[in-house]
Amino acid sequence: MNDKKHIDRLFQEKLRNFEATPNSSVWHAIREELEHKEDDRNTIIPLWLKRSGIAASLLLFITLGYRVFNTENALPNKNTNVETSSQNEVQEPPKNNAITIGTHTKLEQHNTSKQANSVSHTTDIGKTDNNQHSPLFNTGINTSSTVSVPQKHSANTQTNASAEKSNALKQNTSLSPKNPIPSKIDIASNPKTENASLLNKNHKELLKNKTPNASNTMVAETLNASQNKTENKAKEKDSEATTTAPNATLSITEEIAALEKSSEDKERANENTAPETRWTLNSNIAPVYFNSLSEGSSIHSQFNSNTKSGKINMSYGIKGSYVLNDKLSIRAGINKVELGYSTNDVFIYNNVSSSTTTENTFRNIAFSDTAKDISFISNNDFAFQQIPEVLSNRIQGAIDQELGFIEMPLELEYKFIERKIDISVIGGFSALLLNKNEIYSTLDGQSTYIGKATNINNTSFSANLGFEIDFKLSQKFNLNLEPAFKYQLNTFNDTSGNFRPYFMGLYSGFSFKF
Amino acid sequence: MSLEQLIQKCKNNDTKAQSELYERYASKIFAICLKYSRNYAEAEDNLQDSFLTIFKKIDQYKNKGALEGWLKRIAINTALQRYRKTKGVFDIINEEQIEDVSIEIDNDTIGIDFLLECIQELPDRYRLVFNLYALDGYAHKEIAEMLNITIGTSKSNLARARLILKNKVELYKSSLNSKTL
Repeated sequence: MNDKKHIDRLFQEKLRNFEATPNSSVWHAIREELEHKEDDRNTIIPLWLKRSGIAASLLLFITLGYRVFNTENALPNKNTNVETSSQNEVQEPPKNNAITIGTHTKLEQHNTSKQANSVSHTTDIGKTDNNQHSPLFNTGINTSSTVSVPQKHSANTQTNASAEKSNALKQNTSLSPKNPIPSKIDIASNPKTENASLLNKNHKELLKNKTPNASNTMVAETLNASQNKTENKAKEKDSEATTTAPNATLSITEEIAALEKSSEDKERANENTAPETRWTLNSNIAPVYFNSLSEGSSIHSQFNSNTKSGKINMSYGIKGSYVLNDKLSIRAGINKVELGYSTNDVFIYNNVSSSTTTENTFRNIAFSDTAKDISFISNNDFAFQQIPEVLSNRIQGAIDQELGFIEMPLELEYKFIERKIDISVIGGFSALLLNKNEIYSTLDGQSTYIGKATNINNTSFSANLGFEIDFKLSQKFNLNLEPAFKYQLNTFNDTSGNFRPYFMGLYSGFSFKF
Repeated sequence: MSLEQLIQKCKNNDTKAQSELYERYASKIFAICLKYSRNYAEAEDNLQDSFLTIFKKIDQYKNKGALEGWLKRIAINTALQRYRKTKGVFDIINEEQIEDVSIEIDNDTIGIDFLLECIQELPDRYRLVFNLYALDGYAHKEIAEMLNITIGTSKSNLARARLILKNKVELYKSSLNSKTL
């Protein structure tokens, strides 16, 4: 049977009709990849999701911010009213006088309205708008005629004030035209019925809002007896001015004071128990270290076992937190974070001839036009016996992957040590919006941009765990130190091996309580 | 379904058609992958990458020439892709020309699996050149372009590959003979 044959022919004949059925797992992998690509094609949604996410978080901040300022000292009124109301305040007083004169003939009332105006004048001199608003409420309590004074202001402030508030003011307006007629003769009896109820409503509304204005009005009513230390002096001045003026209505205010006394006590009790400052604004900066928890690669399976070295980059941003109770607070923020890591021991080379491209082997990389010919192979896969050692040492490089995200954390903070130094444990999530995606090849210290990764989700999330150490610098300022670990849940969508990326940061910064 | 219909449907990303195309050609393509790869696992990787390229580029297929040829070319290119190296590194080793020692006697009792193993065990470049030249009919000029080497290198690679294969086959044959004796 021996036959002289060319070695080529032996192989040709044997392998001519050679076929081999592959494992079914290959088809599943292809299927998965194809579906994944289709998914990618349909991912227009994340873009608007991203945008709307930003919009939603902004909205959240504005709403929360509004609440803070509103509860604090009615600052929103100040903010939005600066142009309009300040002008009005200047023009208003004479107008108000004219109105009050027109509707009320009684000198006393005239006086009170004048008084009210003078109050608003003094408050114009005063620093805070809070002062301007508080007399308005005060005058509203004292006489119906002066209610019409804040009326004008309310028109301006209505847009900013909460619905409840404006309702309360509207009730005032509906009542004020009634009042003038009987009040001509009897200030004492009429306001007693009308205004007392009005005041109650007013007060209830204000109580709901829990604004310091509410307590301010109460203080004003009870000021004849009040030795309140909690309220500021300016407020006291205002309320003195208004309460001393209508001597005639003193008895009413006393009665009202009695009525309100109980609720006021409650209010004060609440104030004492609740933390005075609920909001904290924090700016932070941190070195962050990025790496993978276990062997794997985000680039290609051949690099799974290559050594990876994480890079230290920076993250910075701001955070706002809201105290839920004395132990727990919730916080949200926005941070810019950059991450990077290197895949070492990579052989980098140029393909001069190429018909099919590297993009199949490295489908996780979208090569830039200038780097189309660059390809890599892991040194582990590389048959070094084929090349002289002199060369092999010189061609070892690394692949650097650099990522940047806008991070929006939402976290809960639990304070478990509360002394001069507060220590809290923090847990939560971050939304990560991709804003930088670059891959470089590094050879002999020279780094070349080769493209971007195609397997990074535009929006992804991380699970966060950390500790916060607060050093109290003063009543308002804290120094924070926060080591945090963030495990990235779905940043990459096609990785090899067991690539589980995370980043750690040591966040430090100042926080301001208000 | 006719082949034209199948191709058309694949162009429209029809999942069923893609599946059928794979069913029809996977074993042929996998054979190529096995020949051009170092081992079974790598061949599977190449098969996967080949079909991904096929489905991605099927709309570039203009029904000119046999589909099978087109598919095979993609598979070969995919395999080559893995071993493309810089020119300088390899030319240093392979400049010397080797005398063409090629003819050998053999009988037909050698199995495909063994031959495949022989090919897979060849150093990467030798394997590629041998496959391209001896089994898939490419000329040295084409191979030189595909692998980014000189024609001389391609020839010497082929000669070395043949020599290695011959030795292996002879060794195998003698071991078979010693068993039978």
